[in-house]
Amino acid sequence: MSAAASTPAGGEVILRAEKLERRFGGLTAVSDFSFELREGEILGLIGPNGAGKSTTFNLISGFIRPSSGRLFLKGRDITGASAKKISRLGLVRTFQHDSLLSEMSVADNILIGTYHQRLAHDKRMEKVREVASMTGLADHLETIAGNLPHGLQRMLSIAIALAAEPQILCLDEPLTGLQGAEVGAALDLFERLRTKHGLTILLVEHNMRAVMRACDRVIVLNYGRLLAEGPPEAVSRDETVIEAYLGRGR
Amino acid sequence: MWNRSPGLWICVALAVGAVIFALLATNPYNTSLVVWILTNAVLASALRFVLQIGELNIATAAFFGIGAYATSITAVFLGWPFWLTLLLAPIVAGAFSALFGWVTLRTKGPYFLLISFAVTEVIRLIYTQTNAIGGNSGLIGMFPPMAIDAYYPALAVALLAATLFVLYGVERSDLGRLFKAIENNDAIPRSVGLNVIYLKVLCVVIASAAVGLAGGVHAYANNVIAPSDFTYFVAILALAYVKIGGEGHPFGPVLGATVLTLVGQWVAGISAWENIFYGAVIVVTLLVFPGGLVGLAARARGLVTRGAR
Ligand SMILES: Nc1ncnc2c1ncn2[C@@H]1O[C@H](COP(=O)(O)OP(=O)(O)O)[C@@H](O)[C@H]1O
Ligand SMILES: [Mg+2]
Repeated sequence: MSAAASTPAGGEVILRAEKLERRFGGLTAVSDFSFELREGEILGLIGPNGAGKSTTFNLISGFIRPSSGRLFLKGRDITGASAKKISRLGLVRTFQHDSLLSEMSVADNILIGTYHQRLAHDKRMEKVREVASMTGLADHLETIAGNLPHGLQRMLSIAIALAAEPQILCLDEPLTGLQGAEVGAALDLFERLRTKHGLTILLVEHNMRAVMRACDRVIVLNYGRLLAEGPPEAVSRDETVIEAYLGRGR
Repeated sequence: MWNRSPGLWICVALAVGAVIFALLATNPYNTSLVVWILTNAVLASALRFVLQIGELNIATAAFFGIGAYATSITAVFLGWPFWLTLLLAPIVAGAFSALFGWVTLRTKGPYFLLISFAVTEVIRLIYTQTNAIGGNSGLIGMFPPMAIDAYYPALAVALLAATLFVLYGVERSDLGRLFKAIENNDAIPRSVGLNVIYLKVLCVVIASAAVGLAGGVHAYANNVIAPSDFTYFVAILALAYVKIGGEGHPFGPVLGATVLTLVGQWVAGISAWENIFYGAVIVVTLLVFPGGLVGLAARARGLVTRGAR
């Protein structure tokens, strides 16, 4: 059982990783990585390319198994649990690339997110319309996802995840390639999801301005290891973090 | 979509017409030809059904054979009632395919294709090596009961046509949408709490139950079956029907099976050339009209409606 630590940034610990490690052959993508996600917070997970952020997403969502370490979701040990089980426990993730069904309509994409539960068709369509209007897709339900403008494609990947009714939403670089106004709209959506729908969000993002604006707390990965942790302003001024980002070219 | 309900009603009318034809036609050659066309249509539709999840399942041929053998063995050796032996065909084929799918569907693409090919040939070799079920020469003597015999072709056509409608219905259901999602990007259904392996197995089981029933129907229609009826080539022909009829639409394989089976009757006389002929037709089709006959019809329709404006 996880300790019910109450903090100003959020509520109880909802997801906890303990000494997470994942090796791919000789390469260690994630190592000795412990962190906590608290209910109701927006936690930023940042780090240079190849730092192990997407691997961390794959680990916590059950897409791959850790080589060692443990994972707890809502106090339950989910180490080695299937993606299906973890999703149904309320943790749903998006993908950095190809996070939608490019050959299917927007409505069908979102519908897929509703199939984890038994529902009458009308109820499903109601859910689809509700999620579509939250994500600005209401006027595009019949469009083939691959033909959507890039910004709406990113929103669709979030919409699919929302249709699965998560408590914890893990977004892997959801703002990549978005235009200025689209970034603002997406950040507003994250804030609304947190305040109105009570979601907890784990956000991997390269756009530092957006991270500063959206996140309550930030953790920094470098070469698969935890480098720094704290409020966004503090982390962005941290010498070791700046070094990690700037010194990556060596 | 150009095919909503009018297309479906046309298909119902075609099916009813085929049943009436099988009932009334006096020439046994003609009635068995209609049964054979629908058998091929089910094989092709089942092959395409698994193509929905992106896999080319050569073992479609194997489950056709398993259905035929299940019916034949229980009819000839055990003397079980006609309906029970027919009912057993889709159940046994479906059960075997569940086992097959559970083991093999963790692989994809060329790996799955090769495994499904190998399984088909191994099962065929088992028939040839098992003298208890007739070895190389197979089984003979599957006859429908006297009371049904005269109507059997009509019954066969009705069962096969019903099977086609079931496959169509599943494709248009939520399950069909899930199959398509798996083919498009299986990480997405996985990420929203769906068991992708289970769904893929289900897809193969439904298709295999369909060809299993076709196998049982075939056994009674032909009265004799042999291992050589169930080689991988059955699936290759089914693929030709799918490609020529058009993969994009559920009616494609039915059309392809009809046209090629009829043409096949005509080229059968030049037997050595038969396979070369099929090969040439596939190549030409894929080059000239990759959407198959259905795609061609849709394009012609597009031209007509554009001209009418
Ligand atoms: N399936 C895999 N097989 C082998 N190496 C992998 C695999 N997934 C990720 N990696 C490696 O793990 C490291 C971390 O990758 P990733 O988690 O994608 O980084 P990030 O998302 O932070 O950019 C990289 O060196 C990457 O090449
Ligand atoms: Mg990444």
